[in-house]
Amino acid sequence: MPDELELLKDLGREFVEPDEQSVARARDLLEQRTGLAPPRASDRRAVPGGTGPARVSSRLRLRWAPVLAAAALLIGSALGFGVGSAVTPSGSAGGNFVGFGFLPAHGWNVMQSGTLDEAGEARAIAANVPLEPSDDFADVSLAALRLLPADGVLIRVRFSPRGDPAKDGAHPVRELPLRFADAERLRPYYSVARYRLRAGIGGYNVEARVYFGEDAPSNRAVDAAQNQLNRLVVAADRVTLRAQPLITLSVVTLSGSVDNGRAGEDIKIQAKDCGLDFFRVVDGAITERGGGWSTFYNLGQGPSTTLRAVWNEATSAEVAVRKRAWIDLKTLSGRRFEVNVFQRRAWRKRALIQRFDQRLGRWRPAKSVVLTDDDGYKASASFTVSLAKGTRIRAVFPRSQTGPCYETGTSRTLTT
Amino acid sequence: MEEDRLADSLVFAQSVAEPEVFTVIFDRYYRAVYGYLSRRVGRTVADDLAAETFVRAFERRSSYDPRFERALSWLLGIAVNLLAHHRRSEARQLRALAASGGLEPRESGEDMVDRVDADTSRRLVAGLEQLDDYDREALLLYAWGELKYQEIADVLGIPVGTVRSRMNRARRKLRQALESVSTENVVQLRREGTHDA
Repeated sequence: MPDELELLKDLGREFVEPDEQSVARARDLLEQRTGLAPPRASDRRAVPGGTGPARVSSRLRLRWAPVLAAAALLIGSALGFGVGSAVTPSGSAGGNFVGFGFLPAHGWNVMQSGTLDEAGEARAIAANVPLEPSDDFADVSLAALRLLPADGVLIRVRFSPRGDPAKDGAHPVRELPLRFADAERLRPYYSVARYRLRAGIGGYNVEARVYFGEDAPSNRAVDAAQNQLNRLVVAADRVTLRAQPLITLSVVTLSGSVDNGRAGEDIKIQAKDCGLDFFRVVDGAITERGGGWSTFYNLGQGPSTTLRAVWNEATSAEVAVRKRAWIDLKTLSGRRFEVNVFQRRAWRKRALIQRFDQRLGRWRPAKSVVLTDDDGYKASASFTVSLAKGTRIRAVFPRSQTGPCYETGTSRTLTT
Repeated sequence: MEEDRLADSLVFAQSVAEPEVFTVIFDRYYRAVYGYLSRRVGRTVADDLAAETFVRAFERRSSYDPRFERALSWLLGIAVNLLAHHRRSEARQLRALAASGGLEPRESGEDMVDRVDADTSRRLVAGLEQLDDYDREALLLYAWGELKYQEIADVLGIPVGTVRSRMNRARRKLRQALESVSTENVVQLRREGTHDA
C-alpha cells in the first residue's frame, strides 16, 4: 500500500496550477485595493485636496485584461446589438440579438465586450469623460480614477453566469433597471466615491461599480449615473453554462442556471470531443431552488472538448475546455528515472526532461526521451540523466507532441 | 534556506517604505497559495481567496514576523483564516476530489495512476472527512501546503509537539480509511448548517 501522505499529495494535483487569468485578476485586485500601480508620469495631476493646479478633465487611461483583446469591442455609441431577447429596462422584445452592456447615449463613452469571453464573463465600462481605446486593458486602476473630474461618472460592469450558490447569494435577484439607491457605498479612494451594486438578472450575476469624481457626489452626478444604469442590458439566455477551469488535467466544475428559477429541472450536459463533429450526452444535473445547478465532469484520458447544457428545448452557449496532457516523472534509482504519459496515441512521441538552473532562475532542457513502451493506458520510457545532486528536474509533454487536442503537460518536480 | 529567509524578511521590511516591492512576494508565492486554496475550496473560490490573502498580507506587511522561515507559511496562515468562512465550498471541493480519480485501477502497485484511481480518491476523501478540524488542518498544510512541522506550528500557533501528535493521529485515520472496505460513493458533510460569510 503506497504511503497515505504520498497519495494525499497526488490527490487534486490537477487543481494546483492557476491559469494566467487568475494570476492577472489577483494582481489587478492587489493593485486596486492597495494602489500599488502608480500613475504614469504623463498622467500626474494635482493631488486631490491639495493646493496645486486645479484638476482638469483628462482622458482616462484604462487597463483591461488581455483576454478581452480577442473579444468584440464596441466603442462609443456603435454598440452593435439590439434589444431583442436581451433583458432591457423597457422590457421590449423582438429580434434574436443577445448582449451585455449599455445602450447608446449622448455624452457617454462605452467600451464593452458585448458577448461572453472564453472565461464565461462579459465586461463593460461607460463614462461621461473620454476614454482611450488604444490603452491596453485590465480592470480600472484606482490611480486612473483619481483623474475623474468633479462631475465625472464611470461605471464598470461585470457579467457572469449564475449557478454557484456561494456567488449567487451575494447577487440578489433584481429586475432592470438597476437602482443606484440599492448600491452599497465602499470605502472611498482619496476623493473618488465608490459604490457597488450586485444583482442576479436572468441567468447572470451582474456587478456594477460606480465611481464619482467627488467623495460626496452631487445630485446631478447621481442622476447621470442612474440614467446610465437605466441603459444597461443583460442577455436573457434560457439556460447558462460556466466551466472552471478552462484548462484542466481531468475534472472541470460546471455550473449555470435556468431562467424559470425552479428547482428540480433536468439539465443534460453534452460534449463534443476534439476531432469529432457531434455532441453526446455525458452528464446531467438537477437545478436547485433559484434555478442554479452545478456538477463535475471528469475528462479522464479524453481530449479537449466543447461542452453545452441543454434544458428542454433550450441550449446554452458552448464552452471549450482544454485538456492538459498528464505526464508523470518518477525515480527508479539514483540517476535513473521513468516518465509516463497518460494519453492516447503518445507512443513514439517525445517527452522533454528539464532541469532547474538556480543561477538563472529558470528551467532549461536536459534531454528528450522517446516514449517507447505502451501498455494501452500509458506510454513510457526510462532514462538516465547525470546531474549534480540536489538538481530539480521535471518532464514536459509539449504541444508539438500532444497534438492539437491536448495542451502541454508538466510533471511534478523531483530532486536528484 | 537561510538565504531565502533573509530575502523574504528583507522584502517585507523594504516594502513598508516602498510598497511596490511587495509585488516580489506576490510573484514568488501566489501560485503556491493558490494551489493550496484551490485544493481546499476549488478554483472559483480560490481565485477570490488567494487574491484576498495577498491584499491582507500587504495591509499587514509591517507586522510580518521574521520568525517565519518563509513568507509562504505566514501567507498560508492568512489563507487558513479566510478558509474558516468557506466550509460549504470546502465540502463541495471534497466531492470534486472524490470524483477526480479518472484512471482505471491497475494490479501493479507503484504507478501514480494506481495511487489516484477513483476508489482511492473516494477513500482518501472519506478519510479526510472523518478527521477532526484541527487534525485535518495540520495534515493538509503538510501535504498540500508543503510546510514543515515547525512552520505548521507557527501558522496554527501551537507547539511543534502538538503538530506531531495531530499528524500521527491524522495519518493513522487516513490509513484506516484506505484499508477499509468501503461502499460509500458520496462524501457526506460532517457539519450541517454552516454558511459562507
